[in-house]
Amino acid sequence: MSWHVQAPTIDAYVSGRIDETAAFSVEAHVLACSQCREALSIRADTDRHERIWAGVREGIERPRERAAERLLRAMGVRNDLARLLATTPMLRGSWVVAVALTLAFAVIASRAAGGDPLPFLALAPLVPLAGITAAFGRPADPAWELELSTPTGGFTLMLIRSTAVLAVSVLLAGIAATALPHAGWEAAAWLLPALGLTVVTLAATSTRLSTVTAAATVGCGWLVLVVVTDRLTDRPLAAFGPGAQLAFAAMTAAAAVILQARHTAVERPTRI
Amino acid sequence: MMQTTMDLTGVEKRFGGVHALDGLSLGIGPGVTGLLGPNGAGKTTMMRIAATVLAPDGGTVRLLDRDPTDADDRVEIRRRLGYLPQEPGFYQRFTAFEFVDYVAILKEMSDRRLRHEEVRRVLDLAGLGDVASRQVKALSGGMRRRLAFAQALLRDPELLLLDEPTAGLDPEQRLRFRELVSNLPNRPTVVLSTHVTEDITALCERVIVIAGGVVRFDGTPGTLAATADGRVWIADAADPRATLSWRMGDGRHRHIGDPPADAETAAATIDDAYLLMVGEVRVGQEVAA
Amino acid sequence: MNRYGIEMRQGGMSGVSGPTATDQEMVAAVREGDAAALRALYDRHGTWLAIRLARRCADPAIVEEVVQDTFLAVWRGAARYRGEGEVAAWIWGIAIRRLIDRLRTRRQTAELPERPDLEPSAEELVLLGIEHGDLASAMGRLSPELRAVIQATALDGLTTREAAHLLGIPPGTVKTRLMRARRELREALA
Repeated sequence: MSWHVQAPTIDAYVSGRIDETAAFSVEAHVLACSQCREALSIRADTDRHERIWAGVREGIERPRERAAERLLRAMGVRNDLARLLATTPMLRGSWVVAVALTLAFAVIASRAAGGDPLPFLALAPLVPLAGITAAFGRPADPAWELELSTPTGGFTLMLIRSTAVLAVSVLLAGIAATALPHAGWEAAAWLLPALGLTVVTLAATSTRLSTVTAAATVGCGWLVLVVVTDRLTDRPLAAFGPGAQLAFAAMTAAAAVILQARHTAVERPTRI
Repeated sequence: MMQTTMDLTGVEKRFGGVHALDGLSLGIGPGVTGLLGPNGAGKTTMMRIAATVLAPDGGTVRLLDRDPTDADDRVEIRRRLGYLPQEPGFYQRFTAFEFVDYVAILKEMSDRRLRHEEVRRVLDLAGLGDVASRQVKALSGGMRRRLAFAQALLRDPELLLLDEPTAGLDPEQRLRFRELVSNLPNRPTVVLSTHVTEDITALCERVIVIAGGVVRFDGTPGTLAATADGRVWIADAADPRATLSWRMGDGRHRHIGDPPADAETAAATIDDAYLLMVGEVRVGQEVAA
Repeated sequence: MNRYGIEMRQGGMSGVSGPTATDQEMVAAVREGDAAALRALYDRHGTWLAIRLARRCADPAIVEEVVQDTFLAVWRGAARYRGEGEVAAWIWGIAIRRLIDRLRTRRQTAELPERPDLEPSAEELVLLGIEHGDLASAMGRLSPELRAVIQATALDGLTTREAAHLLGIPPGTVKTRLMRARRELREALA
């Protein structure tokens, strides 16, 4: 570069008191000359320079929001609660896809079985249990120890994450249920069992059982119940009838009471 | 009488058949206190109990003049607590900023703008300002430990529990860490569990040695070193009469124990005193805490 | 220096924030997620960009916003720079289009800052004469609105439609003014 803008012209350009054509020349030149860019930088308005940078820095560091988080905030949920809900471990695309596929499979199985909703009804309550195993607790949550030492990282966080898992599971299962043939009351008969099994699993995790063991035990127990009532009674879907629904409601309430009573055990375990 | 921030009386903790803590009693107040002890001797168990994440099997614990068995008191304690676990875990896909921001949320910072300012402050303190937008999985081990240290500083805690804070840090980073800890505002209670004796000598007004689940020593670093006075000697070859001996860089051998009459004694260091102390204690099997 | 008087040496990850690194190297570092390299790039290019944008839009708040958005776009889109041409030109392309978008979405036009009615100084004329010869004086004799379309298209690299958005005139007017400007310049240089 043989030609550089002279200092008076630079000053004139910076102050704005420059002929337009000269300005053209400066601008075209600066685009290709680092030395003259440097000459301009020296005359920078430092306050403005730093102020703009603060904005850039904030932009690159700002925590990335998922769509779910934005949606929650749009619904009026406070930013911190929205973030805790939306960042529940496991609530990522891959899990959602896996669950959707499983539910789709269950719906297909139901249709293939001549409209018998049992496969779907048996499977849907297990979906939140699977989510729970990966949402908190020792093996799934790498930051469990640190979280437990915070004011809201124990019981409260467990409830928040479980709510997120349950909400997403219920949403997905609800959508899948609309594809069930002859969808009548059966389309919602899995709802209370799903809630009940989830609360029971949470209560179970407050003991020495790991989340995986608790969820697996409760899940297997459920499947056994469904199979037994289906095969060994002459009333198919007995596990979903009105009586059973009442029983599940009672079970949910009881488990919730037990869970609350075990609050301390969750917050400050004897065994970790 | 100085108010103690952390009071343990007769604390017991068993894992399987082993007593990780066997009637441990101590009181720690403001200032920096170092914790020395073999792995599996109960240091980490004690730190966990102090951080309220583990309940003891026996004894009483009092933190910040409150009772951790009471739900409301426990929340108040946790509001004033900063904890760096021995093995901090991270969500790998979070950036450094997102991780500290997450913990800040758990520490009840609900105003986003203030929270982000605080996150930036502690990241800068820990020297991680440039990598704030980098994912945890792309951070080195030393950076991750500094990240865990940064979150412990959130909201200027009154009680700061640091379990192996300088593990994996290079000498320059360790120096910055020490400068930081010695300049914390409002004179918090800092409990530093470490194997790095320079951390003790540089930072700690007081050092406690825990071995076999109980306190073996409680005093100043100088007094600790003095317990080995006259019990350290150097010889050209290893002397089997020593409690412990090792080869030094210059080829000679350093010994601790009861020196023979004509031994060339050396000035005792904290390392010597510590090794002598724990060497004489029978420690149980490695505790999986 | 932070509040404890400890100097935080914030060295870049890949060491390219030093004065000897080329712009291309810095962009490559930004592509790898090096925030210090972005800061270094900003220190080099932020000032001229802000000044140049201010000559196309009188509102300083908009100018600041556009500079900020531009460097955020550099951070996110560093992969799209393929090393062709100057980094400065790439940055300018991002910035001017950001400005146009910003004006369009808020339905504003770039109120051009008031230009003092200046004649080029003798010195400037000599220097410009060296670089651009008669073109400079020919340009000087164009009317302001003709000069504006030349600036938008030839200097800033905008399409007819983009220039129309920036100047707040219909694209047809941009075309006719360009034609007139070219004709006048041709005549002046003939």
